[in-house]
Amino acid sequence: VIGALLMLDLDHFKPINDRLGHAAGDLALKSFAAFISANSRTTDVTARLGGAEFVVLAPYADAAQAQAFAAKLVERLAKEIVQYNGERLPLQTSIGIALYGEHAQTPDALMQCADRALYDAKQAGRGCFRLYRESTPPIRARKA
Amino acid sequence: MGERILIVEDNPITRKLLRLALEQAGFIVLQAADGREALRQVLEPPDLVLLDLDLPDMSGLELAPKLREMLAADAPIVAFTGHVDDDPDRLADAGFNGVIHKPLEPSQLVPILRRYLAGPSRDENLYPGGRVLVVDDDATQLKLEALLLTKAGFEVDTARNGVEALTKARDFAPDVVLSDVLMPGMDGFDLCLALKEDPSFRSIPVVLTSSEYIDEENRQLALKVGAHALVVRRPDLAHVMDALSAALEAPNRPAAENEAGVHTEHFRQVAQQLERQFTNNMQLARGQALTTVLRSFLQQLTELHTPDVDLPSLMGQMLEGYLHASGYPGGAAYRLQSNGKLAVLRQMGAAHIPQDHWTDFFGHLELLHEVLDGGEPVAIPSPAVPEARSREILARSRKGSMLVAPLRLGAERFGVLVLAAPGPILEDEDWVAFARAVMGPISQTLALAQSFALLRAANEKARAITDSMREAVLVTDAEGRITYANASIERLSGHPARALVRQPVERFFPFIDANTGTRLVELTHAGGHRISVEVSTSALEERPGQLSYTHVLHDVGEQARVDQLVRLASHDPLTDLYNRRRFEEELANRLNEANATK
Repeated sequence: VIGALLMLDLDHFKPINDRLGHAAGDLALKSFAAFISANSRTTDVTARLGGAEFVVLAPYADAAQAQAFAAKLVERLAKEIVQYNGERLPLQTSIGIALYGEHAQTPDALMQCADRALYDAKQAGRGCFRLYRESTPPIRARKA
Repeated sequence: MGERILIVEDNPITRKLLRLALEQAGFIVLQAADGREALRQVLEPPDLVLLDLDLPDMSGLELAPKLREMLAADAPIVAFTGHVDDDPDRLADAGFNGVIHKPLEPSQLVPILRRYLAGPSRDENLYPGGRVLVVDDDATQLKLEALLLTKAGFEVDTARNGVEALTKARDFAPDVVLSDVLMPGMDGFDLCLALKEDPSFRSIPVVLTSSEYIDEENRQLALKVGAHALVVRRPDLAHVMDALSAALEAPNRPAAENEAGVHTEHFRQVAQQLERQFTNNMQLARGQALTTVLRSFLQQLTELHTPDVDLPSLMGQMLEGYLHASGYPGGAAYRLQSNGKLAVLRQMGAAHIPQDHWTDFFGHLELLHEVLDGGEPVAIPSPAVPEARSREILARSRKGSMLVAPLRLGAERFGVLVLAAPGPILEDEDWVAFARAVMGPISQTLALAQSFALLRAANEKARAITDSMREAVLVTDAEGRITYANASIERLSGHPARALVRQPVERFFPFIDANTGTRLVELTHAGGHRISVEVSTSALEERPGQLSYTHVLHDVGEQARVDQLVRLASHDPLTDLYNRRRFEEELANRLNEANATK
C-alpha cells in the first residue's frame, strides 16, 4: 500500500446554511478546514473540493492507519465547540477511504473509490467512516 | 564503546527512554526500579551508575555509599534529580561524582555520560569549558549568567542584544552562543537565524534559553531556526550548562530549509507570547487594584511610597526611616529570597559587628525564620526565646537587647527587620507593641511596591515586543473600542497610537470586527490612499465572560497582493486549503512518483 485518500463531507451543512445564514455556513466550513489541518500530519495534503467536501491525502498510510486516522477525526470533531451568535454549530463528518496502489491506480479512479466509500458512510447513517469495498463498483454518475 | 551503565530509576517511562537513548549510543544498559534491585545488579559492577535520588524503598543518598563500596573506584555515580537545590557537598559526601538535572532530553544525556566515563578530570570540572557568547537584554541576568558560567570553567563574553551579538561573534569567535529568546528588536530566534545564514558563523552552535517561551512548539521552532536546544531558564543554570556542553560536542545543526515557513511560525509565536503578556498584565492590574485599597492606610509612609523604587532599596529606606523614628540606629534588614532563605539586605549603625555575623544572625538564623513564620514581633531576651539562645546572640553582637519584626502580609512574606540597642530597653512590651503597629503598614507598602514592580516588568516586556514589531497591533474590547495600539500603527495607518485609544475601532478600521482568523483587507490611510493589509484577530478572555480582541495588522504591499492573487489560483479562498484543481495536480504527481519507483 502506498497511501490513503480520505474524502470527508461535513454532515448537515445545508441546514446550518439555511437556518443560520451563509456567515454561519462559512464559519462551519472554515472551522472544519482548520480542524482537518490541525489533525493532519505535515506530510498530508489537504484540500477543499467544493461545497462541504474535503480531502486528505495521507502518503504511506495503510488500511489500519487510515481507519485509525478517520476514527480520530470523527471522534474529535464531535468534541469541537464552534459557536455562532452564541449557538453551537453541530459539526459532524462522514468519511470515505480509498487506498492507492490497492483500490485504484489512477487519480480519477481513486477519487471515485473514495467517493463511493463516502456514499457508503452516509448510507450507514453519517458521522462514521467506511473503507472502500472492492465488491461495490464505483458510481460514476453521482458527481457532476 | 560497550560500557555498562546501570540506570536506577523508579519511573518506568523515564527508565525506558533513557535505556533506548543509551542503547542507541552503544552502551549496555542494566536497569533497577528500586534500591534493592540496584544492589543486586551491581554485583556484576557497571562502569557508571545513573541514580535517581527519589526511590520507593530508600533515598539515593542512602544508596550511593553502598554502591560506592561495590563499584570500581573510577566508576562514576551520577545523581539524576528533579530538585535543583540539592546540596552538591552532601551529594559528594555520599559518593556521587556529579549531578544531572531532570528533565533532560535523553539524547542530551549521551555526551554528558561520555564525559563522565572519559576523563580522570571529571571530579574537578563537569564542564570542559569553551568560549561562550552570552546574549541577554537584562543586564542583571547577563551578569549573573556570565559569573556562573565563568565559575563553571567557560570563557565568557557578553552582548546586550542581537546586533551587538553579531559584532561580538566576529571579534570573540565563540565556540557556542547562549541567547535569551525574549529581547526587543532582534529576538533569540532571529539571532539564531542570522547566525545560521552567515557562512562564517554557521558552524557555531546556539543554545536558546527563556522563562517565557517554554512550550513544546517553541522548542520545535528553536530547532527549526537551527538552535541546538531551547532550555527553560532556572536560577542555577544547570540545564543551560548541560545544553552548552552537549552543543559543543554535537554536530552542527543547520536552520530549516523552508525559511518563509519558519518566519511565519516565528511571527505566530511572538504574537501568542504577546497575548500571554497581555493576560499577565491584566491579572496583575487586578491584583494591584486590591492592594490599592490598602493605600489609605499608608499616609504616614507616603514619602517612601513611589512606584519607581525597587523592592530592595525600598526596604532599605524603610529600615532607615524606622531606625530614625525609633532613635536606635542599630539593626539590619533581611529579605526573603526566592530560595526561601533570608539574606541580609542592609545593615546599619552597627559597624563593630562583622557582616558575616549578621549573615547567620549570630549562629541563630533559624530564629528569624521562626519569627517570620509566627508573624509576631519578638524581643530578645523575652520568654518567647530560649534563654541560652538569647544569651548567645546578645553576647556575640555585644548588644543589650534586640527586637525582631516579621514583614509579611497574609501569606506573602517579605523578610525580617531587626533592631538592636546597647541597653535592655527593646525587650520592653511597649516596643513590641510599637513594632506590631508599624510592621503592618510597612508590609503593605512592600506588597504594593512589589505588585507595582511586577506590573511594570510585565508591561515593559509586552511594550518591548509590541513596539519592536514591524506589524501594527490593536487591542479592542467587547464594545469595539480600541484599548491599546502600538507604535507601528502610525506608520501603517497614519494615525498616531494616542489618537486611536478609547475610540470606536470602526471609525478608523471598519473592517475590524470580532471574527477571529486571518484575512486580507483594504485600509484607507490617513493620507487618503489605500493599502493592502493582512489582519489576524484573536480573542482573549480577559475575565470570565468578558472578551477582548487582539488584531495584528500586517502591510502586505503591492507585491504581496500579487502573491495573494497567485495563491488564489491554487487555494480555496474561504478555507485557504488547496482547491480541487491544485489537489488533483498533486494527487497525479504523487501517483506518478509512486508508479515510477515501483
